Amino acid sequence: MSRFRNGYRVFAVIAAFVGLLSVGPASAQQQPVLVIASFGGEFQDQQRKAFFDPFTKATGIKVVDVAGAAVPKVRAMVQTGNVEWDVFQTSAHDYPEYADGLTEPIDYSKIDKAVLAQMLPHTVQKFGLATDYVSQVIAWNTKSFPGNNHPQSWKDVWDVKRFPGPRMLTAGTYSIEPIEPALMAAGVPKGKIYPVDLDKAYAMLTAIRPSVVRWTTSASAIPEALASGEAVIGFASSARIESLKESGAPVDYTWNQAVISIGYWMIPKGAKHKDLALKFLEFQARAEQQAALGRFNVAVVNRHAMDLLTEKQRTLLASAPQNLAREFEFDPAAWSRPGPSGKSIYDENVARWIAWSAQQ
Amino acid sequence: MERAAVAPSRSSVPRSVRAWLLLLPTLLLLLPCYVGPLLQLLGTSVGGDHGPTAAFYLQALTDRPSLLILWRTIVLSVEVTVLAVLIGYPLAYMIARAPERSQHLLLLLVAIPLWTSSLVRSFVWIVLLGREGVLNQLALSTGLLKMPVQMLYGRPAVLIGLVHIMIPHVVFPLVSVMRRISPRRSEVAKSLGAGPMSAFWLIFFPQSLSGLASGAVLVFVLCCGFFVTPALLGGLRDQTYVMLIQQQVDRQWALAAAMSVVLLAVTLVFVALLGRFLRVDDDAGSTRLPKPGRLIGAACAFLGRFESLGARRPARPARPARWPVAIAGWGAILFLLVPILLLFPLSLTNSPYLRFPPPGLSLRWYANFFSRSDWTSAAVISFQVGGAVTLLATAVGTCAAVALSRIESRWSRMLYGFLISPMIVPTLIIAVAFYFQFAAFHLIGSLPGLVLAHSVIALPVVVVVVTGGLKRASLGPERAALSLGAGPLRAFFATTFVAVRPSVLTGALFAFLVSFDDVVIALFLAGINSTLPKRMWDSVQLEIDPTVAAVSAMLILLSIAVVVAWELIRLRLHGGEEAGSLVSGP
Repeated sequence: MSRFRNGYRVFAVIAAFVGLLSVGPASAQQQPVLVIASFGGEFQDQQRKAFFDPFTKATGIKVVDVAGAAVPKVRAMVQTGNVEWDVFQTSAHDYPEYADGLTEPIDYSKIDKAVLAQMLPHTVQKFGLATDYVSQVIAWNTKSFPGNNHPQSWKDVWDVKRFPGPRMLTAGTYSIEPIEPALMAAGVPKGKIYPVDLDKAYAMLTAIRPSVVRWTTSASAIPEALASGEAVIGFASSARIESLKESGAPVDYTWNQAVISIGYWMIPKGAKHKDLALKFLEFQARAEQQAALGRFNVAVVNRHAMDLLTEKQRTLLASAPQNLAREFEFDPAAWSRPGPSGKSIYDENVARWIAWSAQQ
Repeated sequence: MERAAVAPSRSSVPRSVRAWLLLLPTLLLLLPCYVGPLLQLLGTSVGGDHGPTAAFYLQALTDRPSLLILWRTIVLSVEVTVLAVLIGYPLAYMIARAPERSQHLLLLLVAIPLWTSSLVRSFVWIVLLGREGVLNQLALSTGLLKMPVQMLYGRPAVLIGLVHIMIPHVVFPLVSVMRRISPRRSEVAKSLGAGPMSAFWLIFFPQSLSGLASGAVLVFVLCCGFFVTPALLGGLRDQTYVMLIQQQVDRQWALAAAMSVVLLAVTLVFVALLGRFLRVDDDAGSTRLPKPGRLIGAACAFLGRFESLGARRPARPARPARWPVAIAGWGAILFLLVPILLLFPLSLTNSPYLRFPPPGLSLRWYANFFSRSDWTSAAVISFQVGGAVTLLATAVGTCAAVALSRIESRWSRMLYGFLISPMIVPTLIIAVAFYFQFAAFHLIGSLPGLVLAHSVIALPVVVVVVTGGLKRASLGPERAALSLGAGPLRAFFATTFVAVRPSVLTGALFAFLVSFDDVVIALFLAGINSTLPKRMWDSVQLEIDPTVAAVSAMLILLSIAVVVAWELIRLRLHGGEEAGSLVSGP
């Protein structure tokens, strides 16, 4: 008899799992939660400290932050109607792609005019409000290149005789391609980079290919490789390299020919909590919040935030005037213009990258 | 079995119909959550704006880069299969020939890596093979090398990583077949004058072919669809076809669908070819080989005779030299275990990034895991989903296995093939198919969606394990119970179910681990409800800190604990009988 009961008990347990399942997602939806997607890693930890946690403290709105913001994710969400995110971060590079039907226009009537007035030029856009400047810099391992004996320009990065050792660069499908660096290495002056000459760029990529151990789409791969010595020269975010350097890792970087662009928050089309999202956009643009991010060496977009930082902190920001003069300003509009085939240069480059990467 | 009604049953439903009814839950799971998505995938691949079109297939099959990558994927899979067989065969031989007690221990050692997440195992190689990694550092400090060797992000790393993952998949089917081979035949051959080599190639090897075939097919299929390892350890030239499909999913969905169908077709053709070529009589004792197998038979005979031709010495019964097998076997076990164990010291580093040797020891990254809600909530979700999958897949799979054992054999054979087919379909293709099907029902990012998807890939394991158990169980007691007046349910639970219970529990554990280990499906379906493997994947992609090493170490401990505890319980409960052994594998 007891064995007989045992059998039925199995079915009772099975019935229970239905209950177990419905508990998880349902309970999460009772109180409004702002879902914010960013790029993950230490950078997102910093955003959490500078933006997300203070936002929850100030407004009582709970924030769930997730990693992995990227065009394919957002496109899939919008196309399938499963919009999980309310706000996501993007690079300037992907801005045109998102602005083309994937995001909501920002309703600036709901954002404090005083805050908007403090924003730096180009940081208030129809579909996105800026959050930071991102600078991809030439970085290296200081054990391989001690002192001043390090690459100073993209020409040097391409010079494998003077600066031997494995390189790690971004992939052509990553949001910041190696295309502009390749053109600078070819000697194209800053003002002539756009419209990009893909033939010339890919010829340069072919030339450096044997020395590149990895073309990555991962934001952490290059800083990690430089710190561990897996690669000795790389193309990585200044903030990530700076914080590794401060933690004692053998890495350094130069502002020369760094590719600087603006990072934005955007709201995906059909987001569930648009009003909360706008509240967050305004909050993170305030001088105090921006300054909090600036203390992590991330360049601020609110000019009053600069005043809240120390002199030393200001020199480490990508947007500091003396640094800006040495950097190259990325132009997202140039990538969304049609190329020779009629498709955008952005799409042409993706197709070209896939074909090029498969070559022997 | 068709003469079921030995005694008048109290149920008005005839037995054969009842068996079919037991298949109902399976069909309810597989039709909407497996067949449906795959059909939709097929539909999408030919769906143009104005009716059916072959344009996407044309595009997939004429695009040079993608064909090149498809070809390289096949080559890579063949290479891995060959290497895994070469390393796995001696290991399996050593295990099968070992005394009973050590056999169990050895199988346990092979099972530990099998139970360790493939993501963890790929991650380990990044730490081991790097220029400043463990291997290079050891070689440099002992003076073996002057300059570090570039191993990571290229073919060597991909091969090492994949072979490491695949070896257990070769060993388990081989051991189970080899154990059935009677050593007496070889003894007889030797007493008739065959040398140990001849005895091996003429008698033993041909009989082990069926195990070799199933292992090789499994490895090949898994490799064709493998995503994690090549993506983490490979360079540009090691891109695989599934990586290309993943890139296309959100750009050109129809093209991605067509490419998925192409890959599926290629996989099936290879499975059919390999299966045909290596098919040998299921009965291990038989030496009658069907046509293609005769080739192998001839090759074996040649190898067998080669020894006597070459040696030209009076043949005498000799003990086979055991040390080459032992060296190869133990070498393989070290290869399987050492990398996994090395993760423990590495995870105890106090450095903000992984390096070897760790500059100092601390539990800081373990503390980080437990203090971060994004990590702990991912772990909770993984356990929730795993638990639900275990219940669902085990219940459905057990019903199906019981049904299969009671219906006409031609049907049951076909259905069995269908039920275990999710094993053959590359996981990424299942994930892609689910993705668009589930999106329509707003199941993306929901736990039920993930549970259903994982249940589909966990079902085959349960069916295979429970079917094995049922084959060993006698139907006698159940018939007796029926004839004594018990109802059909009661008769089943009181007799047959008790006999197969160890198998059901083993199946349940397998189901849990299938769910707990999955990265690919979670990547597509988990949404903001990140599972632990997905969180780890994000970490490897986006972060620098060694938290992922700490998590990996904990997962390895967990799998070791589960495997060992399970074996101990099983031994205590069933006194070492075969049924339900975790390490005998599916």
